[in-house]
Amino acid sequence: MSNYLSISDILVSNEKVPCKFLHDLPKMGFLDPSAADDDLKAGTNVEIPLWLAESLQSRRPPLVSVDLPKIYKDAYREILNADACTVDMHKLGQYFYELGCYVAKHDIKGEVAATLENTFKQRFRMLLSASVSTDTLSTMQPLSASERKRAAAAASSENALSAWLQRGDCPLTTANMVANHRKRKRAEMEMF
Amino acid sequence: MFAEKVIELLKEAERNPDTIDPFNDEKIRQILEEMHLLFKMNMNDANATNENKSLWTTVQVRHSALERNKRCLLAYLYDRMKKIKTLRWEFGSVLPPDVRELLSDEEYQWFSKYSTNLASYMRSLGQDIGYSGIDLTENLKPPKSLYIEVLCMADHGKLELEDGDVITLKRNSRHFLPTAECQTLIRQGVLKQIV
Amino acid sequence: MFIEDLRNDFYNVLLGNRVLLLVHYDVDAICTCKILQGLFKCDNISYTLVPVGGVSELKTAYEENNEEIKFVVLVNCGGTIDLVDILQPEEDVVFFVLDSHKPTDICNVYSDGQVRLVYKDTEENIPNFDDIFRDDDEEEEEPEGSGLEALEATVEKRRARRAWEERRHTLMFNYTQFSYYGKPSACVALNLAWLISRCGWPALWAASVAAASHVALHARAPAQCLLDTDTLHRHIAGGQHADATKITSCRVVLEKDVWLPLYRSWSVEAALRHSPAIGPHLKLHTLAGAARLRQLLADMGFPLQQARQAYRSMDVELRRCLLSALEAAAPKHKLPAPSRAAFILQRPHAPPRPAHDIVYAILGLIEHENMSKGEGFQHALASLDTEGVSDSARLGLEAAQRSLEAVTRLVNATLSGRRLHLAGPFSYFIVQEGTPEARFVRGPLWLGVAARWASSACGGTRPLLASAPVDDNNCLLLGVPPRFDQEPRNLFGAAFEQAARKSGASVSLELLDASVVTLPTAQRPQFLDALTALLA
Repeated sequence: MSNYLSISDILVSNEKVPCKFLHDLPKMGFLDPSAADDDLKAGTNVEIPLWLAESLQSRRPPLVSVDLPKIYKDAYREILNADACTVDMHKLGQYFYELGCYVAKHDIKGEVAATLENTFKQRFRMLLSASVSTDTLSTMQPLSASERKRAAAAASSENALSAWLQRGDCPLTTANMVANHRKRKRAEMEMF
Repeated sequence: MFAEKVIELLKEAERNPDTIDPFNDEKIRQILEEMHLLFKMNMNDANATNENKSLWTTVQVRHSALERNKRCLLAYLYDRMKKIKTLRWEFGSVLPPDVRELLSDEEYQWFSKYSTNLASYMRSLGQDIGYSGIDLTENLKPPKSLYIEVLCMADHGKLELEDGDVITLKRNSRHFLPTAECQTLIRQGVLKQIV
Repeated sequence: MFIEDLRNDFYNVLLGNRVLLLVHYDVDAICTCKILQGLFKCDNISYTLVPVGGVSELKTAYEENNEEIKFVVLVNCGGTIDLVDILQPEEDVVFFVLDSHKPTDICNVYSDGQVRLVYKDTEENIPNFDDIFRDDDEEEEEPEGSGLEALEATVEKRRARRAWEERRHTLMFNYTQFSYYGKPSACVALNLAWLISRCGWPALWAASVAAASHVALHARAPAQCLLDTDTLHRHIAGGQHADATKITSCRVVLEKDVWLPLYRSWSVEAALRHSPAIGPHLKLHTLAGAARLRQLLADMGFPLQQARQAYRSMDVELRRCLLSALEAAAPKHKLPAPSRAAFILQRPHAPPRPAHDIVYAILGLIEHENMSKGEGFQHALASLDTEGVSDSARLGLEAAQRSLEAVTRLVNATLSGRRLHLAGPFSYFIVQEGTPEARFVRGPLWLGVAARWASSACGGTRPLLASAPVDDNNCLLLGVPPRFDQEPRNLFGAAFEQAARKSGASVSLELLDASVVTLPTAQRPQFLDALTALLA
């Protein structure tokens, strides 16, 4: 499922999730910022990155038990089920959906998965309107990272289609990387 | 906290999907140092596990961190490799010097080898029917007409056409030339097509 | 030499070869260029297009681009200068010159095939070959014979030679005395397009704009303008017949329209105030001028508030009767006839666009206050498109509005501030550097508009000179003949040359329009003195 070399996957698994340590961990006290001790005692609740949590949880015996992050708990789930379109996903969690997929595996009740699907269905209309809107700043603001990517892709296909309908052919253009490289060089030169 | 420097490196790469940044030698060195440190600590603790069984969990944690670092570094290098491949298709087989200095030496070697591979593959196409190869980097979009009108955006000097004519490319001069000649220059941004 | 057969001797020669197109910065040249581009694209004639502003730019452009080029087409440049001498080309390079600047240089006319003039204007009185050139080798032979007869023969020959030289001098003087314009090059190009059956609406539109430019800028006498556009009328009438059912594409029509530039994108009052044909006669620089304008609007039946609104938001009834109202009210205020048969481009789903609007738009683009000339040239070419959505026409119209406003302000300020000086037989005014309007009249075209405006406002019976700063040290000097709307032949070209020689000022006769020169600002007063002495 996960892509070993995918950068976005790596960034997703960098998000923190709350966990409970089931065993003692000597010399790992620095994982818990509130602990003064050098060693980590069993039973402490710490927020550690997902990659560490998954890796420790999959050992036999499991060293941690993963809890749901705040945004996937009951309170927020209710808000999302009610009306997901008013939520500013960028503030809530940039990688809401992907992190949710990982977290759903640890959810005993299985409600997180349903919430994710429901949220996406509700926000789909927002995505569509962002792709055709001209005021990109305000429409893209409340979208999460993956939603933004999809909206940007939709916008560019929309532009390509309308240009093709208007003109009937595609003129040759400067290559993408070349144009951006030039732009950046010019911006750098203006700074000096 | 472990593995935070790598994340900075990756965030840098993610920020500019359309351009390539200079090869961050410095950060990579730091990350490799961190990995060495972790490994050494692990070695010490693994040897000490025989006395203190609980150190085993610590070793686990550090090992995950090492694997994490390795994964991130590999992803960084892979991402750059994809971008360098695009560079060959967009800039052509000769890189301008300011792009050249964004790559590390090994990356440049990889670029040359990739170029050579691509060139020999392109040369081999159609050899059985008598062609001397097809240039695949041309005609990335289906051509619509035999000749196109272009506007020169920057002073580029002289351009030699296939039939021997020499054209001086100066800023703001317009030319009507065969499409095949102009394509590389349009992709490089020297010429702009006028519809 | 002149080309007789446009199709075979000009176009068919170019087929299959690469061509260098050198185009001057003026409306007619840009329209011709557009028509020629269309033709070249159809036949896949590879070309390089370079715009040039003057003689030295022509030289540079030729030198840079002349590798492996055998055919050079010069549009509205190069006719009045000795091309072979200035460009020093190779033996086998052929120049085709399509220039409406007259008089054509004699060396170009009598060149033996290297310089070919595409169109022969019947109104030019080109002197005969024998009257200008004479084989000097005959003179070297000493007559045989002895003594007195030989001496008499020599003296006789010398006398004949002197008489011939005097006659030559007179002929050349008469020939080069006046500089004027011939038939618009775009009409010649349209003729060519028609001969090779590629005369479509875009070509017709470009030719209409060029014809409108000659009328608007008073380059030709009105009678001649009508003759020039004769073929154009026929083509348009023919086209209208054929396309009667299709309304999905653009067409050019010839309709009676109000001769107010840009009135469709402006308000009626502004268009009246800033129109070069009507504005001067309203004498807006005097106190009574504003009152006259209001009176005119009242006579037309237009409430002042409506007239100040943008044309598009004006009352529909008023819009419809604008033409008739203006025609009725004009004679009462002693204004020239405000309506004329004008070419209008009718576009589906867009408001119609008259040709003289585009003339001013192109002027605004090539002498834009911010954009460089090269960029303005590209926009100007794009603004002549009949199909397609390009911003260039809108940019041009806005620039033209600003320039017209600046010119009006400038002339009104000059006249009301009594800065129009009288010097001998002519009047002149100088645009001071640093005034906000100075940057709008940096180029010869807009300065010409301003000069003609000032001349009309003062009655138009005296020749007028206008000078504007072009950069820190140099200024532009432009001469307008008296009664320019009837008799546009301009003698300032020859006069400037002579005055330059007499006064020793380092005048550069760089620009292709002979009646405009550049000179250092410091030497302007002595140059003007020399000119006064010359023309007195």
